[in-house]
Amino acid sequence: MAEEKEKKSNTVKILITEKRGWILSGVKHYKAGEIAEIDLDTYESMKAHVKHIVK
Amino acid sequence: MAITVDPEAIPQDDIGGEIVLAQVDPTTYAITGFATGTTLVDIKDIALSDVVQTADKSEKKNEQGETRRVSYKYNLMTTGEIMQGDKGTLDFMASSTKDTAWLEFKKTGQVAGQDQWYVKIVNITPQLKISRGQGNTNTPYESVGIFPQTAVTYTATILATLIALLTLTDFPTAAVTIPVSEGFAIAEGAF
Repeated sequence: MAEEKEKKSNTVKILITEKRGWILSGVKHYKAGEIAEIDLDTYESMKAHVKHIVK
Repeated sequence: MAITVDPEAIPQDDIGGEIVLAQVDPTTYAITGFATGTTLVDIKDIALSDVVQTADKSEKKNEQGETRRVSYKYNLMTTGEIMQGDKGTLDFMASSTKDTAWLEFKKTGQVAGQDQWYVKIVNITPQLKISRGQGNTNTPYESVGIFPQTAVTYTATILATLIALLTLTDFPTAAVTIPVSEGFAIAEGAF
């Protein structure tokens, strides 16, 4: 349970609003309108380059 | 990142070198395999490298000849000379690079307390040059940056895999995103 909580606090859920979508290499090509749950390090890297809304 | 005054950010002489390449799918930009020496390559010793962005400029002039707007198309390129002249290196440069796309990490050296890597997706020009009698064998390296159709992020897990498989030092460990507009990212690794 504690582990589950810790995992959740280290991730962020985002709604991709970028028309072209976003590729998380080796995982998925997220299209606009899809929700991605990603770790904070990945979020820090992509947030300035891909339009999104934090859920 | 904002510009600051920092004398430490002036690169010293004789830094740089090293190109790390991972073959990627030309459509999804996903790394196609983690086979060291074939789809994952560390070219350690590079002489005289350049990493450049150039711009094709188009000036829009009115009937009086006054420029009212300038638009640009950008070109990304890495060039250098590969110092190793072994069969594996020569085969790779002349043949394995044909019709393939690569994720390229070009080390540009220690700047402002960080090791700097210039990251982009590239096509490598397949070429070979074997010189004798005037010093080293130098096969030229030339890659042209491909602007991705969609921003692509390579996670810390992927970078850690590259570090482990190629025994890399000073390599970036935080996720790297290549944006559509720039076509490249500058990543930093601690040394």
